[in-house]
Amino acid sequence: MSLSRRDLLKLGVVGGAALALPLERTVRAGTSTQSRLASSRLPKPFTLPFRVPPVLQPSRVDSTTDYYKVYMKPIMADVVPGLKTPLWGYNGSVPGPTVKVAQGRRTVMRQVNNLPATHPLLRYTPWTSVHLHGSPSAPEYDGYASDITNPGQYKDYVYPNTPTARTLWYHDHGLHHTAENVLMGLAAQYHLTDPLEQSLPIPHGEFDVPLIVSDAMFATDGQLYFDNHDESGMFGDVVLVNGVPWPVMKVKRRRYRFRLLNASISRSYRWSLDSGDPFVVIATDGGLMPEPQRVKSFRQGMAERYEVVVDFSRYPVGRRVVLGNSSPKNNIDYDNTNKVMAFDVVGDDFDPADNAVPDQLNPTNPVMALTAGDAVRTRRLDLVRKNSQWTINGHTWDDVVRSRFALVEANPAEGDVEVWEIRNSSGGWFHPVHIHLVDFRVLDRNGVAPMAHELGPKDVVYVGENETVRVVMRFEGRGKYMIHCHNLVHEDHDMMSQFEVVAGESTDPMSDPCRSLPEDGEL
Amino acid sequence: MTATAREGLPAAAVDDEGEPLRAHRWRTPSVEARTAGALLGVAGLVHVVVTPEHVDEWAPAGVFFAVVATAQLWLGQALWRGTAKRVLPAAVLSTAGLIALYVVSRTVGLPFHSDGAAVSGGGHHGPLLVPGGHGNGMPVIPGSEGGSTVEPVGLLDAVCVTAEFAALALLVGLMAVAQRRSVTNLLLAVGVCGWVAWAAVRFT
Ligand SMILES: [Cu+2]
Repeated sequence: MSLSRRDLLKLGVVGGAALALPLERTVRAGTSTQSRLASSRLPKPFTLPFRVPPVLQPSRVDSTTDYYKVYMKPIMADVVPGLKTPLWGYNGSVPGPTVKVAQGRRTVMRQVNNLPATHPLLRYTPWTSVHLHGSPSAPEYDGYASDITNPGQYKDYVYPNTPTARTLWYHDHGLHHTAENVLMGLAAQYHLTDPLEQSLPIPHGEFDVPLIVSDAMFATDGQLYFDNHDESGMFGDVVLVNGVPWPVMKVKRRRYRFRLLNASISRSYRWSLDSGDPFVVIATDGGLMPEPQRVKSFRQGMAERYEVVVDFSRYPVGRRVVLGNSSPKNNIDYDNTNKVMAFDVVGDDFDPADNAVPDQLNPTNPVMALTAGDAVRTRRLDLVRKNSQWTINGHTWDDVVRSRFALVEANPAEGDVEVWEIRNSSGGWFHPVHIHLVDFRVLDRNGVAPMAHELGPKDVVYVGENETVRVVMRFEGRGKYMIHCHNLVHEDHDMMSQFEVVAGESTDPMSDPCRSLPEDGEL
Repeated sequence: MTATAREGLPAAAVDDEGEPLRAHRWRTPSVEARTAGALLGVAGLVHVVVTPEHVDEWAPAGVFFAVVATAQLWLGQALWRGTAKRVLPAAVLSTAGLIALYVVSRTVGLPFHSDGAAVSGGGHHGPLLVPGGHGNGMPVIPGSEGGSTVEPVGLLDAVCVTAEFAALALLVGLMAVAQRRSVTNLLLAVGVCGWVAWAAVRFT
């Protein structure tokens, strides 16, 4: 070889650039990662007191309607003792305040986006879209992912509250960052009551307790630690109930009703009590079951709600009962994710009323009378990973947007009954599928009857690994509604599509857009 | 008529193996040529190894990697056997181009994948279709470079680009002096541009 010194010098300049610049960039990106809080610095399970989110008070009431004002805003929260965690809360509360409303009363919720212009760490614009999950809201008030409210804007959501009593929840549904917005704290329960639910001798009042279960991971500086595992899911090493890590709750020696909501981004749970005693499941997503179901353990996917009654009268004062989690497949587990919360039995006096579970709860719910024979057609939803994206029948929400919101997976006529066969042919992940607008009945899973805890009206169904689940439902309502996976990371990337209930007249999901806040900020 | 006669070389000329000497062959592959061939073989094998994962991400990327791997392996054996003289300029330029592509992909990202395709670590790239949205709604997860097409440098990347660059230097050395000067000047210009762009971004 006869390279001159000059040649070598020139090649050195090029070679230096080729080898050094990529490395420099990689090292720089690497130093911008968060460092995870060591598990030794996390609180010990069952040391922090249990609490219940506040109840939201209406700002105005008239003969038909309760009006609420909700400000989504940043807060500095004490989650891990000794650290401050920046979160976003509805009215500054994480989880958000509980709404309680009686069937037939309308609610109007003014949702004000007072979030910062960009997320302080993740640098995205936190537009929002509020979905009341479990409500057959009109399309323009359903939290359609593309019907967004930017920081500095607000929107009035109108809810009819016509369905049966149930545990609903309102949470963010903003396009492409639902997972991050919900992890930051934008989730809350919403309790709808009706005369039947009120008349049953099941626990009410202080013995009717919301349990919003979520998981999170923290960085050394107290911020939430974000890792979506190549868009497969976000998993925390801390299990939170109503925003508190592994809390301990004092319980009296009687029956309690727990409204279990899995508000995790990607984690599913399989609950059990360390006493070995059963849960009595009395209600599912869409409200009271026909009959209670006794189960020693059951799995709960994201966004599913189960109301369970636990009888603490069988334990002596001083006994601690632990709610545990034997994780279903394809979750990422850590040291203490097998624990959820503890109940310490105390000897205090209690009101003996409403301390039973009758054999019949809501035997006449028409949803539970539907059979496959009522269906006018059967449709298939295939949940598949394609080109590094999560899809439904090969479609993503970007496809829906590109079609100018015309693309639909199904177009039943108003009043039609249909069977949907939802298929997950992968063994590598599970998908809890949420169909907006409707309550459905689970017909079967891989040809076998649904699990005992699923024998009630549902709006999310756990479609596990290599499972095909059939559901039957009647489409009452009009217009376009979303269908999506409730692993919110999957939903964001981009396992979401829609269906349209075809009727003579319907409203468009984007027909009542948000408005800008007035200059003085007063509403 | 033989190729030798057609190309006007002395009919008597033969190489070491007793075959007629042809213009696109070196008499004997030099140590430099053989080393360059071996290095390109290494780079080609790295590209073979990573082809399946690129197919999984985005089919056209997989095809590109398969083509690169094939070309490098072919060139590697040709250099080893001494039959690559005629393609030397093409080999130098394509290797340089490949290195440049690599540098871009690891620093500013490649402008591909805008249509539902993805690179590992991020499924959403390209324009965000969010009517009414203010700014960018795609979270950037620290460390994972979510929402960007920049890939981090891995061990295989480092092995591959080092082999390619060493091969490139050896191949430049094999070129005729006149050709070599214009090629090294061209490379120098590209290298200087790279450094200037980096400095402009980092220090302004
Ligand atoms: Cu999913």
